[in-house]
Amino acid sequence: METHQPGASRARIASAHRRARYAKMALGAAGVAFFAAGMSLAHGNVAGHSRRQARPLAAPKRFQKAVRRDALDAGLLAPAQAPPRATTSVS
Amino acid sequence: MGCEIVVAGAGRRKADAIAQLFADRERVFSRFRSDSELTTVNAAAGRPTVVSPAFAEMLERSLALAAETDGLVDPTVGGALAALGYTRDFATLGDDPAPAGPLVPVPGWRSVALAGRVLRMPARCTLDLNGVVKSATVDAAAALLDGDGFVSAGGDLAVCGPVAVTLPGGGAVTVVRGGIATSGTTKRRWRRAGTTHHHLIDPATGRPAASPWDAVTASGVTCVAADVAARAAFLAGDDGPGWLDRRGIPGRFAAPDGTIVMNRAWAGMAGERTCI
Repeated sequence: METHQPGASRARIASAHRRARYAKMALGAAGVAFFAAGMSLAHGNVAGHSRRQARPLAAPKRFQKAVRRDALDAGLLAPAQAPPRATTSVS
Repeated sequence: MGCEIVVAGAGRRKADAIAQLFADRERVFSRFRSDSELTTVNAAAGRPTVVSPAFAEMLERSLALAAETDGLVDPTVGGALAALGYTRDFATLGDDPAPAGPLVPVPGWRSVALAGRVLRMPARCTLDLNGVVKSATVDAAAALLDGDGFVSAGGDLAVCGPVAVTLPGGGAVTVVRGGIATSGTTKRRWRRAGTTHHHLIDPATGRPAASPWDAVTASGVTCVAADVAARAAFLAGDDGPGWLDRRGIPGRFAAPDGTIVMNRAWAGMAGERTCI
């Protein structure tokens, strides 16, 4: 007849707990990896997902710079040949 | 806008439309009217404010020009101007034996954020858009002309077709295209407790700029460009002629002793090669 020894039983229970903990961690890690892989695949293949990081809808910086520079462009002057009709004065 | 407006080349209807345009802009952008949008916006500093499309457009332009002039022409100098006593239309300003208020630092154009029509600026920031508004209105008015002519507001001009223009300190030049403007300290100046102040504020100090020039005239593809270039060159001081030359902008500088200095771009375009 088999007899239960309390020490051996406790060791088996602790071992079972340990295995369960490892199994949970492994399942969690597999879940995260599966989710990440799924997201990557979705980004690459599903039309609704952006493949690049979203950027604000604005003109490119280079274009904005050129427009600003042009805003301070010079006008066209020539030597005066007729009597002046207007005056520029301090404002 | 506290200045004389001259229009050449417009019939009665166009002249009336131009007068209306200036009046409309004055109603929105005057720092001295309690009912202007600018006054409302300045009072709401520190809180996000939704501004009108016209206001947003003008402010965006002012901020872009501040960036392009490396902050020399800054729209946030309103508080500094008010502290120095420039609190009402220049025609009624006059001298005052009382001293000006304490120095008010300029918050700087970078502290103003405009996203579409939503404006956010720091508490106690006061905008002054008059410089850009006046010359932008001159450009808009010139666009209303049917044929050759010009529009001038306080001596800042935009032309349609060549116009010969008299220059400060003598001499003349033909403005073939764009605009011409002069900035300086000989006109908009006032006294507080015996100290003379003027309206061209150095954003770095919040005080009237100490410049070696009395007046700077610049040419621009528009009147706004000319006006902003003239002001920036004035504020750049000794480096003014070089500052304009590096951008290919013609500039003519009048010193207090009557000396006239032209930068290379001016001498090349206007044919004035000798100093008067």
